[in-house]
Amino acid sequence: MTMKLNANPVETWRSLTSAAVLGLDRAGLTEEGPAFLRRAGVLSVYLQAGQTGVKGDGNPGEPFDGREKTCSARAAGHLREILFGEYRLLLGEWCQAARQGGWHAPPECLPDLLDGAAQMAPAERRTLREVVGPRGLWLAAQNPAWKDIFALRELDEQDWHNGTTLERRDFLLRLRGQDPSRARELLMETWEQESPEDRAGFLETLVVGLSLEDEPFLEQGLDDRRKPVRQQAADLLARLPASGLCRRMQERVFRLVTWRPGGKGLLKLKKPALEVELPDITDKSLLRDGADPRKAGKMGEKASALANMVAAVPLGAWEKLEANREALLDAALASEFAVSFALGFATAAIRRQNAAWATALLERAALIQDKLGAAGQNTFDATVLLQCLEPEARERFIERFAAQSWGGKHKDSVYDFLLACDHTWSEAFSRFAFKVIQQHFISHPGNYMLRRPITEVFARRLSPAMAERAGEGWPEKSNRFTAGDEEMVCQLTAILQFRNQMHKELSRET
Amino acid sequence: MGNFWTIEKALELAPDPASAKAARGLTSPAKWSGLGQTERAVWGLCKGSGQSPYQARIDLQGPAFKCSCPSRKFPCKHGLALLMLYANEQKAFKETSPPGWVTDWIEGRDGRSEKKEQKTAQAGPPDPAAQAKRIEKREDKIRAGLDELSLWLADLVRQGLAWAQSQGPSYWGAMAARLVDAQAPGLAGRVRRMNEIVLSGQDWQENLMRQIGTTVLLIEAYRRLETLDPDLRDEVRALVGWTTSKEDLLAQPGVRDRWVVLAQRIEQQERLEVQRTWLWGSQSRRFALILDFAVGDAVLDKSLVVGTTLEAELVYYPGPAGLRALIRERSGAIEPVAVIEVRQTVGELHDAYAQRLAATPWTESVPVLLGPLRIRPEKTGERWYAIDAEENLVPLAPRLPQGWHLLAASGGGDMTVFGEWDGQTLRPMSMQQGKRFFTVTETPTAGLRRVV
Repeated sequence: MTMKLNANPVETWRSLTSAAVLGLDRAGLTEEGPAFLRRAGVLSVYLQAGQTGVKGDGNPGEPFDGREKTCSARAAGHLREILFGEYRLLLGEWCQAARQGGWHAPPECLPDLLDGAAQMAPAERRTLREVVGPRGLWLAAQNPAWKDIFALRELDEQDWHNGTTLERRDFLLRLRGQDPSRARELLMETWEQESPEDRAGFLETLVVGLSLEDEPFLEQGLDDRRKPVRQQAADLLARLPASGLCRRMQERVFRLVTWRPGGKGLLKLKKPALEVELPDITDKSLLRDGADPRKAGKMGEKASALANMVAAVPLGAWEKLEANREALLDAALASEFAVSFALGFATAAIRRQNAAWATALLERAALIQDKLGAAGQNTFDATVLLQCLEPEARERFIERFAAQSWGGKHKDSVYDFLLACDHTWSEAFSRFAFKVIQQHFISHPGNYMLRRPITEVFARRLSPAMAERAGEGWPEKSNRFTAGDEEMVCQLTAILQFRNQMHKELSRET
Repeated sequence: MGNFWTIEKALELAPDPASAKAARGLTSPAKWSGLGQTERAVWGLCKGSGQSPYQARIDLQGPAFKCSCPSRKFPCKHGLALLMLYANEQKAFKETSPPGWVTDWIEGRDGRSEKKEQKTAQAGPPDPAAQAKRIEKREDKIRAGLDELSLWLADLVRQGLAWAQSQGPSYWGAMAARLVDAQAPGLAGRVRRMNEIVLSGQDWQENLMRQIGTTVLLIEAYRRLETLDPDLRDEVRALVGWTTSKEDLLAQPGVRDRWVVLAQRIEQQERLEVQRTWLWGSQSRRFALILDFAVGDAVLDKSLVVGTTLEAELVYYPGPAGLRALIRERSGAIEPVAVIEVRQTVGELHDAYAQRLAATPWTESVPVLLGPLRIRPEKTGERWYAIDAEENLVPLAPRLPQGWHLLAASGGGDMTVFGEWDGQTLRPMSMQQGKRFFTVTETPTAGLRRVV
């Protein structure tokens, strides 16, 4: 069989190609052989040469036309190193600095920034929105993958009715940020139909925009059949000092404790004391309010319940009992149920973000740590307490703590506090912190696990001004200082220098 | 003239990531002393682990590096760090006359290139009998390779293109390797491109058909070499893989111009690295392609930097395509590229391409400068088009990963694009809007990088 050659070259080309795709053997054209390919060659060139353009539909879309303040070429270079090199962890810091300087990201990096937005926390995304600028928003609007990054779309209640559990939870979170009452209403409407597994998660979103208006609904939650829901409801109510739950707990606890203020005794000053009776854990209303008497470590059920009760008492109420917070705390920690008080006060301070109480607890961290350890507990989280303080207060606290405990058996605690202290440190504090970190590293030779905190955590918190000095003071001549340690110092110096240059460039005027 | 160098450009010269990291650790001025600069050179002393500090120097006309440290890496971490420091804090370098160890080196470099030219001029003609024998041997090898390729292509089309697509990369790679052994690397490249075509998505069948067909035409042309015009003969020989000797080439008259370095691509092939650098003459308005090769541990020539212009005399390889060239001589410092004035529509491009095809029908792609163009996505980024001044569409390479970057950087406005045109689509390699010049990157990530 031979090929029928059509007069129309396009048709011929099509049939040639189809035959070739199938294979000449299968198309029954085996004899064509070399002639076939030659013909194909000539025809393809002929058609290619005859190509002309295709007219557009005359609708190219609006070009970008907005005001922008693009950062300098050097700053752009830093951003590129962050996005495509080894400093990815510094992206948040770069964006913050850019935003502060009013700079916009370089246009050619916008797609890569927008691609990374999906993994960002909401606060970071807000910063990113400023940094990509009007050009970034113009670009994002044209790609469905980016359209929703900055939540430019209006909230649609259809999403609440039709989404997956995760999507509905996100929706609730966002709506709570805009209109908490409406969000609560929507949740109440569908509450009965919600599966028990989902309820606790949805309830958790009420932490955004929490107010006394949510109290009736949350009181209902205390009676739910599932424990996670009851616990969630109790936790939320405990964050509202004016709620009924807090009032009830306060009454209960103050019935159990007796405050004996100190005074002059016969021979010496009597210390103030806090006498405590354990609660009655068969009390149904106590259980309903979230006392949760569960054995934990060496703590008995009643002691556990006491801890949860104390956690719900408004801190202001204690201060009415005894104005001197420190004295009260000391007495509580000296009492028979110190552990319950320690845990309870800590939770209360974190719930209310109360810096004064957090500081007082942190100052007694060592003592609390010991008591908790003896009771088989390890739930004293200094990190979260530390975050209750403002950055400057944190720094002052740690320095004070270090001065008091230097050389003592708790000197490692200073290092732990530094690990917990999450913000960019001031220059002065950085000098102090660097010494502590270096000392800690040197006194644990051979512990290569200490390298990562240095290069990944401290390198970002130390002030960039430390760049010059970060290489000094290391025991380079010691034979316990390995090549890996040297590399760590190199990396630390490099990161600090990079951050230094990065900030210098973004804090210029033009 | 402002400082052209940036940290990023310097890092590109690093031979490996470890060197880049090490260099970074040395970029604080505290580690250096005796920093100095002239228009031609930059130098400094770096504290090392040895007794005396290391002397590092850079010839900016190059760039080229030399350091007294024992490292065998090129450039070493001191040279890299010095360049990065120069990029960042030029003020730290005193403008003063250079010390002996710098001038000696620079003069030595200039002297060496002179000596090289003298040597080429002085070398006598090679032994004619031995050379003829070598050529005959190669000719035989090539013809055998061509025969094998013809059979292989006929076999391919008998089994079918669909069948060929289902074969793995070793199917194509094996044939390409045999062609390389047969000393026909040009044909090997065409076979490798066939492999890329079957993976390219839409329209691959027609494109493969075309590639196979034109390769067959090329083979036939080679077999009838004596019947061709001398110009075309040279072209066909070059396409199959014959090279003109550098000495013969350098004897030809050259083209002097201020050349813009438009783009650079490195291709990894088994044990060989091939670097393509595209130049464009500002006056002559013609393209030139400079090829550089590196085998094994050898290092590619990094002296042509994208986004710069240089005064140079080029010599073109023979053939009507007039693309591949060699730099005979260059002078003066490099400068950042100025605005390239171009008004070329896609209609004009089609005409020019058709004429090229008429002369050399097996042309795969041609370099083009098009503008003004506006880019836009179609189907939400799956396909990209550019629109020229006459509202005609220019399809861009399928599944272009840099589309969003081009849209972001151009803001949807007019730009000039340099790229390769294969008759159907444009594969962009660099872009200019106003004074801003960007290069399209594929590694380490696909995107756009601003060079000027």
